[in-house]
Amino acid sequence: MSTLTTIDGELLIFNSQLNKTSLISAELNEVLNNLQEASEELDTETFNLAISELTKQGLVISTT
Amino acid sequence: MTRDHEAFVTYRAGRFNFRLFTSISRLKETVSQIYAPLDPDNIVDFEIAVQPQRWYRPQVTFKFQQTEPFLPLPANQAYPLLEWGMNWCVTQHCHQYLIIHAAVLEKNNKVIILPGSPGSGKSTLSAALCLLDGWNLLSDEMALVDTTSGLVFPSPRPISLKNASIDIVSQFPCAKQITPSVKDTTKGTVAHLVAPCHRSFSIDQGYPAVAVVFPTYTPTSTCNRLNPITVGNSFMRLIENSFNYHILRQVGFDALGQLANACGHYTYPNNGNFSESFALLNELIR
Repeated sequence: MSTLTTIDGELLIFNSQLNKTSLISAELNEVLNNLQEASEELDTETFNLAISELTKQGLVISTT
Repeated sequence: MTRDHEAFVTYRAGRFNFRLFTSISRLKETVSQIYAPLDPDNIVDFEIAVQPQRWYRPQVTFKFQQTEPFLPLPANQAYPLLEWGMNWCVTQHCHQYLIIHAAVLEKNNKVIILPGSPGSGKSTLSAALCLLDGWNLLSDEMALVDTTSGLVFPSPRPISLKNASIDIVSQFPCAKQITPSVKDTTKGTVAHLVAPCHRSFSIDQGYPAVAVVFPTYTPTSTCNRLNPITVGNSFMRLIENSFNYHILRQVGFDALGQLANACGHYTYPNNGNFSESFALLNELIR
């Protein structure tokens, strides 16, 4: 899993296992940054669950 | 492959070298008018064939090695079929680049990328920029992004014009080299324009892109304006316009990230007022 923070503050995540890319809004990225400071890096399974849940809540802008 | 008895022509099309086997003399003539011949000591990248078949309602086929990626087309579509076949060769095999369906234009050593789906007005706008405003065409159909440096490499080939854009571009004073229109293709009527080169540039040099502009032709639009979009939004749109992002996987993600974070990103609904387009796009390269 690779991440790229854009100059606009959004987060792009590449999931190499699924070959999928997700775009996370700048607002949510800030929340994730705060979470990351408080925890270890998420494993893939947890990441997928998180993305799934966030998508349901309309917080992931898009995934391809 | 022993085909010495067949007629062929070798030429350089953009960054790539082709050897075309064909018995269609008109096709050979067109290719010779448009593309530079290849020196005999150059390596051929793709050996392809466009050949006629059957006498009743004659057709042409495109072949690369033993593959025929397209259904046969009516014989009068030989040249468009060749262009589409060459595009296919590049997009299917040249994964040393991240390939984005886009026009690429250069001025003042700065490059803008115009991704666009069919009908977006990308090719008409590119033709206008090249013929009327001094831009160099680095590519009409595909942006070749080096996966290591994120630089865009030129691969200039004729601009593919479709339907109404053929008449529009034909009226430009510098539009001297346009192939005859071919009607009733899968893309409608098509013709190819050879864009002028305003200054010599090396196709071995990569250029940094400064902007990604998504044009959409909107005849009802009352004013032409560049609307900034976020890098992430553009990134996801560029994936949709890429031929091989999902093949390159991590390499594609990294290359696109490098390109995207170095550019400004805009949508560009426009009504075809070229003078306004020139002013707006020139602002991006100042």
